[in-house]
Amino acid sequence: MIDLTDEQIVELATQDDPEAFGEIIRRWDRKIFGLCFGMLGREDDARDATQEAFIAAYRNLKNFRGEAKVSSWLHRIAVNQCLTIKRRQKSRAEDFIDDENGEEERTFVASPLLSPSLTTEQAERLRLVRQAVGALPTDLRQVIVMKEFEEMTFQEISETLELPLSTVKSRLYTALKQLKMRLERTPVEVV
Amino acid sequence: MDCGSGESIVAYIYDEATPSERRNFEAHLLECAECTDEFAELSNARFSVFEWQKEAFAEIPTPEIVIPYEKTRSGSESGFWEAVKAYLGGFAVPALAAAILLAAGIGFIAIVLTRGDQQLAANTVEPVVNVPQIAVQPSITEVPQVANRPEVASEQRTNSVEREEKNKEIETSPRPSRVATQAKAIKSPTPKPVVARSENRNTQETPRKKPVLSDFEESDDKSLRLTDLFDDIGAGGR
Repeated sequence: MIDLTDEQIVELATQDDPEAFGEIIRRWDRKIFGLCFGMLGREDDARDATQEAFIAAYRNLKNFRGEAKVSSWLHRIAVNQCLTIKRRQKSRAEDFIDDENGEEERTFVASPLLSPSLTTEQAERLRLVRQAVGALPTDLRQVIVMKEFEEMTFQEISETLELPLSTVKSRLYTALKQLKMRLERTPVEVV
Repeated sequence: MDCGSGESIVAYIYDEATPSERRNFEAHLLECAECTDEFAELSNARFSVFEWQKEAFAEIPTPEIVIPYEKTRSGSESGFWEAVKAYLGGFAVPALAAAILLAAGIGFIAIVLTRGDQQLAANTVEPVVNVPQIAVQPSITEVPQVANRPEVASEQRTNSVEREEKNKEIETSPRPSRVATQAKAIKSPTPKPVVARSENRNTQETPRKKPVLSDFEESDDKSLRLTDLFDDIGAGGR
């Protein structure tokens, strides 16, 4: 099964051996988890989103069309799951902070698994980065997370999101510019 | 190179520029301070995200994904059954069992009714009346002989009287009803055991002779007849 492509494994799981889908999970669980973490900013939310994404993918195996890559198909499902969780959390009226422009932002809870060797300054900077990424619009956040957490190429992001290659590059450029503005606006305060 | 090309900066930052594009960009940075400043700012923003990913996420273990294959196997089934099961929910099995029982019950009732109709049709024939088997033909055993002898004549005279009496009995006896006749016909489709004349004559066991009028000639009849009496009276009165 190691020699099979993702598409061959999906076909095998659809027809003869549903548990062959486990190989798909083994190949893509880390990257999908990274994508969900980058989208949601919280480890527990990312775990839930990753689990739901793979379950949804398994249930919709028969709907997988061979013209798209399995990775693109999984990414699309994972992004949808992340957006669903974000909408669910937003409807629960969790903590929001307003930025200077009046936009509502989610506070990203610092991960308890941060390395203890990090200084307070470093931890605070990471918190700000996490917050700045969370404040990005969804379409910009997607491309940043896919590039940084999943290490996808422009071409892969283009296929996953079904966008032209130039649009992907343009969105990355815009996302980095906004991150720069937010990080420059909020200096790191060390208590 | 155009200073306003942000795509070139991004491609260079993420190391996805072609060799020729990279050379051109590097050459442009040497000539354009504005693009160099912008490149530096975007690189720092990108590095912050990279650092966040490395510090906050890299050490987090990958969660174990559990797929309930038995419960979610319906996703691989035909859409129709999946929709049926989704509609019935947890009552899919009981509903299916109830449908099977209902179909079996309807089939059983149909069979019972069909057989009942057949039996009713078979029983529409009226009960057979126990009518004794009455031979239509008189059971006169002896066939009147044609011999011209006085002792035969007297014997024939006796036979004629007996024949008349027998005929009277037949007339007064209850006739078999049409229904009974039909019942007998239905009940016993086999022909009645009427012995044929030829067989009767040839049998040695019971030489039952029956009168056969077609074989009886008037000229051979030597018995006393009423017309003969009237003739005698007429002749004597003169």
